[in-house]
Order: sequence, then structure tokens, then C-alpha cells
Amino acid sequence: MTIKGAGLGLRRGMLDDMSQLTTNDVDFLEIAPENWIGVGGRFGKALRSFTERFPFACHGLSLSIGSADPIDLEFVKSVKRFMDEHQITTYSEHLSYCSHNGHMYDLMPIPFSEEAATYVTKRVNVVQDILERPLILENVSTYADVGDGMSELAFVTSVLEQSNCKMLLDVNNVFVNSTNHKFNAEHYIRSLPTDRIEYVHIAGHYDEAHDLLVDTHGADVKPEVWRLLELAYETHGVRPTLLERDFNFPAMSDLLLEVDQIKRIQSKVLDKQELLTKAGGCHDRKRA
Amino acid sequence: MTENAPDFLAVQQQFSAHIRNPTQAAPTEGVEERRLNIYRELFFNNIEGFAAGAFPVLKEILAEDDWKQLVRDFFVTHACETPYFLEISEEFLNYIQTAKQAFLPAFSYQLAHWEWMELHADIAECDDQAEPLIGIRLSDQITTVDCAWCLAYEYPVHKISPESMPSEMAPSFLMVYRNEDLEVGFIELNPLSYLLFERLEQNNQYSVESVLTQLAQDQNMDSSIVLKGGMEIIEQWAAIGVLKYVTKA
Repeated sequence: MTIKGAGLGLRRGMLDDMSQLTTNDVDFLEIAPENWIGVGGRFGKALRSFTERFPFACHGLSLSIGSADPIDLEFVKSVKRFMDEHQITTYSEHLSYCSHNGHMYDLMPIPFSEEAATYVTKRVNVVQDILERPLILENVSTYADVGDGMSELAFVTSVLEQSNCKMLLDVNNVFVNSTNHKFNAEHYIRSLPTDRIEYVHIAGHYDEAHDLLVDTHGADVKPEVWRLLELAYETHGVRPTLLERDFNFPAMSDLLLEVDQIKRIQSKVLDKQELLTKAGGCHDRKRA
Repeated sequence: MTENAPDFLAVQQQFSAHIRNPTQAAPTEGVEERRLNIYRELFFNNIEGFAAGAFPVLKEILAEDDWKQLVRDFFVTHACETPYFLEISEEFLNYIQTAKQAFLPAFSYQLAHWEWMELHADIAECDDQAEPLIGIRLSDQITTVDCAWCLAYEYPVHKISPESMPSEMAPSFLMVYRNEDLEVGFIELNPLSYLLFERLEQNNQYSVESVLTQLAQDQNMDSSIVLKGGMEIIEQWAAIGVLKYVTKA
């Protein structure tokens, strides 16, 4: 089942709160397959009850596409089986690495370079062959620049161009990195290849310092980030969008306000684009 | 990593080594200390959170600094193979089995195993589900369900807390199970009921009567006593759903 509209992450700690949700509240749910593959008991049962009611997206955590460690082929096959079992078609991951001599369970910054982009591309192809679908890679938040001077935008674009993969555009990560590494967030978003953007994430972050932000997923979305979401839609078109919240959970009603905000911006941009299309259409007729 | 590894992988090697072991592995040159610190803290707190979530009693009985040292040593010395987050607990358990810190009580591994077992019982994928049985007869062939486990420890691991630290060994036999409502429970067993569980677990052809008679023979006990006592235990287990028919006689 493909996803559209505005979604929310399904968390084991929030199952009771989320059991009341309907597709009027959220259009789809997202899970990390690493938290649910091979899980039975009450959690396995709960997951089935949700996958029967909602479209789902998988957002992976452990693929480690940029790692020196070999790709865990058995794991990728398990992800495919899991998605087939639950009829999930969207699988995104991080343009990052989270292992080196073993898993480290969080994301580290790939040193941006053409060499790294080529290396990642080879591994993307291996994964895509197993999954039999394009991999969707997310631009990740980073707090250190360890590359050879290549910009993040050039690196992301190079991977997208070399491989046939798609992009998960995380607008909060663009904002966080634009502060942390002093680049123009709007220029970054406008420069991305439209046809590759498949999915969007939005989240809150934490201000460690005026020039250092941390992507915590533990706060409300900042106004500047909402504006970047709108810019992304205006530039590339509306895409299914997920609100990420991993801790400091507010009441479900408050979280749904942010989901509604996504829906409002999606409608607003769609309406505007429809108007433009119609206007363009009238203009054409006049000319004819 | 090979000597021919690309330059950027060498950068990743150094970056990740420093995150794992900040005091021993040099940081990547040219990166601000406060930026490295974000990574160091995010990663350590993440790993600590997984360990604390799975092993709350082990954490509670250790001094805070000792616990942190344990988690740090796990991060530095243990290469985690699992991509699955709930299985980090298993990686930590395997690490504890070989950990040699002087501050670890002798029962640490067994306590950790028990804590892992409770988590495992909650999340394991099982082929069958507990379902209460009534009216089991001596002629029935029964076995245990997949979501019931029997364990023998050298310490009373289920009673350990900061207020109740075992000073010497005291064998404890425990059955952990997931009931039909998918809730995890446990029962203390005596040595004989532990043996009975083991035999039922492996049983795929014998009647209750022959399992109990054989058990009595092997233990040099009066078979009529074992038959009566064993049947009572079997009825209790059947009521909570941990038994199933091999084939209904």
C-alpha cells in the first residue's frame, strides 16, 4: 500500500494512545523495521492491528549504507520479508553509517567526498537488488564536518545521480545542518532534483547553542522549519510527510495539531498549484 | 579494515573509535570539542538507555559509576552484530557473561539472564499461544507450549534487589510463561516439578502416566506419590495455559 498525506511514527511506548487513532487523524503510520521484525506477543499483535487499519511506511535505522562493515544481506532480506508480510511498499533509510566493527545504533557523519558517494552508490545497488524497489535515503543531521570540503548538497546530489535511489527530504535536518555548517537552507532545498524526492520528514530540534542545533525529535516543530516544508512543497510538489517525535511526548491531541498543520500546508500548496494550473489553462485557451 | 581502504573509511574508523572510547582513541582532527561531545553523549546515552531498559535490577544494585563503567566497557569491547534494537539486550547479556569487573557480584550474569528472560518472554515469536486446558487424563500425551520456559539458577534471581542481595548460592527453579492475554508471569518450581517440566517439554509420544512413572523411577521415588503430586502440578500448569496436547488421546 502506498502512503500519502500526513503521518506519525508508531512507538511501542505510545500504543495505547495511538490505538484510538483513525485515518481521519493520520493518513499513515511509520515504523522502524528493526524494532518490530521478529517481535511476537502483545507487541506483534498490536502491530498487526495497526497494519490492518493504516497504510505504513518503513523507516530503517540499522542498514548503515556508508559503513566500512559489510552489508548485512540476511537483514536486508528480513526487511523485505517483513514488508511483504505487512504489505508495506515504502522503505527509507539514512544517508549515513551507524556501525564500524559492529553496530553502534546511532548515526555518524559520512565524510563527504566523491569517493564516499561512489562507495555508497555501490552499496545502494546491492540493497535495491534485494529489495526489488528503490531505496529512499534521508539527508541526516550532522554536528561535525569530516569531509574533504565537498558540500552536503553536492554529496547528496552525487549519490542520487549515480544510483537510482530516491530521497527522503528531512526539512528539519536541512535547517539543523544549515545552522551547524553555515549554508543556505532554502538554496539547498531548491537545488534538489524534484523527481527523486519521494517522502518528507519534519521534526523539532534542540538549540544547543546559537550555531549548534541537535536533531532530538523531542520538541515542537519550529516556525522556520514549517516554512521550509512549505518551500519544499512549492518547489518539488506535495509529498507524503511524517511528523517525527521520539521523546518528550506531548498529549496525542497536541501531536495531532502538528499533523493537522502538515495537512493544512499540503492543502494550501495543492490549492495554489491547482489555481496556477487552471490559470495556465485559461491562458492557453485564450491564446488558442 | 584493509590497508587499501579508501581515505574516507579511515576517517570513519577514527571517528567511530573515538565515540566508543573517548579516553583512549584520539578524536578526528579539526573537529570542535563541543561537536564531538554531542556525538559522544548521544551514543553513550543511547547505549546506556538500552541496557538500563533491559536490565533495571542489575543497574539498581550497582553503584552509578560502576554501571557506567560497565556500559562503557560493553561499548568499547563488544562488537554488536544484531541490527535489531530489542536484541541489544542479548548482546549485553553475552558481554556480561565474560565481563570480569571486580565490582560485579558473582550472581550478575544469572541476574542479567533472568532479566533478559522476562523481556524475551514478552516479545518472542512463538508458534503456539497459551490456552487453558481442563480435564487432562493420565492417558493423554501432553507437552509444553512454546511460550513457556523453565530455568534453573544458582541464586534466587527473581528476588534480588538492593535490599535483598544474596550472599550465598541458593538454587532456584523458575518457569516463565506468556498467558493467553499475552501477559508474562512466572512460577517458582521445586526441583521435581522442574524435572517434570523438562520431560514434558521434550515429550512427543509418552502419556502423562508413563512420563510420571519414569520420573519416579529415575528419582527413586514412590510412583503413586509422584503420579498424584505430578498430576496436581500438571492440572495447575494446564489451567494457566502452558501445556498442550501432543495428540488428544
